[in-house]
Amino acid sequence: MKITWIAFMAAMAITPVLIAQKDSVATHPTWAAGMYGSISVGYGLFSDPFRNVSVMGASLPATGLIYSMDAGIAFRNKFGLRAVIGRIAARNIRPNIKRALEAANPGYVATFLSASGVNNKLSKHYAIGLSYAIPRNQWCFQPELLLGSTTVSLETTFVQLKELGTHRACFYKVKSDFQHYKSHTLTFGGRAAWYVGQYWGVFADAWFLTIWNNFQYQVEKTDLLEQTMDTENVQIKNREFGATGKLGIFLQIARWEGNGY
Amino acid sequence: MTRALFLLMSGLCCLLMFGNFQCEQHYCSLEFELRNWHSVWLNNSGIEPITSSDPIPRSALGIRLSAAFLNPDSLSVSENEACSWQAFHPISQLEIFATNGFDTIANGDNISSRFRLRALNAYSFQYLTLEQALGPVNFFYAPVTPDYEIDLVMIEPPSQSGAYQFSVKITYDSLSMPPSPDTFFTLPTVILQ
Repeated sequence: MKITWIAFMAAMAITPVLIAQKDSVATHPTWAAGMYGSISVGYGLFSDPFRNVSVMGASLPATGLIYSMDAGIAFRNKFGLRAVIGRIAARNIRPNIKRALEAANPGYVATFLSASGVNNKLSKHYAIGLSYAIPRNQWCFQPELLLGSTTVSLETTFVQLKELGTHRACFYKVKSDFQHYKSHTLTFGGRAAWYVGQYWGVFADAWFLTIWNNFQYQVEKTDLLEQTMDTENVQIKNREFGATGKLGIFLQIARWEGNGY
Repeated sequence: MTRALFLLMSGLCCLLMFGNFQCEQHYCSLEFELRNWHSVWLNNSGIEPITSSDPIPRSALGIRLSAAFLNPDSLSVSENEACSWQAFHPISQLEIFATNGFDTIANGDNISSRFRLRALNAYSFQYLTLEQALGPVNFFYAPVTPDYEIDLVMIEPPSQSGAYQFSVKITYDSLSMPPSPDTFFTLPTVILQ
């Protein structure tokens, strides 16, 4: 599914670009005009941003770290392609599991949720999509729409639920057949780039991400009063949102003459 | 040069002879005694059981037994030190009786099978029968605490609301010659909703 999306978006991007190339007048190596590469580092806030961290009971911002390497090309007609390879703060999905179990068992509340091992870790993030350049003197603004994926660590999770009003309690061992899952992402954002030199500059990126999760789990449920155990398969589907800000530096091989980008 | 080597070797020899090297961590094992038992009613309606003197829902009734936790060796143990604690006079039987009968239960019947120990574990808690409870009651790993508490929950409550009275009997292992006789006390009347 993900490959289909990427292929579709790439085809959509390339078609107008190839047409535009015929009319372009480039200086320096024509084939390189508008090509750039960049590196950036920043911070991201995702759904429940501080659930990722628990150091001595305090929340630390280190888990929101995000960095990425981008490569792209902006064509003469201002449309462009951008590919992103990077890392974003690993998201602890255990609270999602806890919420899903509480939702499936009305009247029960979680009395225990095992700690996550993904604190302060990063997970892979890949994205590809379209950008559009709006040059203004030394500045260039680039809105962008990217499709991609990010890895989620599917750790075995232990949850204990207790029924309010009674002694009844259940212990859940939630385990996936896979260690990792790739969630689809849709990124809408923009870049404000400032040309310090002829072919390089600095920029600030802002992203708004939507992340689709669809996890399959095997759940072992032990009733603590009855001492009975059931096993069932559970699907947890949800959507998360994130906002990130990054600062970086870019290098452009050549610029379109007269267009300022 | 020779003098420096001599001094170095002498220093090493002194270290080996007089140094207090420890290759293994000291294993800390202590004994405890329990005195002055008390009991209160528990309401386990919420996430954690809380003590209550008000009417309690029948399905959430519990008893908290507490005793003074004494260390006969009078050893000072820091709170961070992980020690195993073993009862100097182990409890051999923990029983609950219905002072007044209810449902099919006659006055004075043993209703221990209707109770479970709410034992804390690495995750949160688990329920143990009172026979299974003797293990964790007499031997545990825990930081030093001034109080010793046992939470018992009633999993088969009376079918009707009303006033009820229960008794607790704690029997010690007779082989270890307990300093005090077995303990038997009756809890105050509880109103069940």
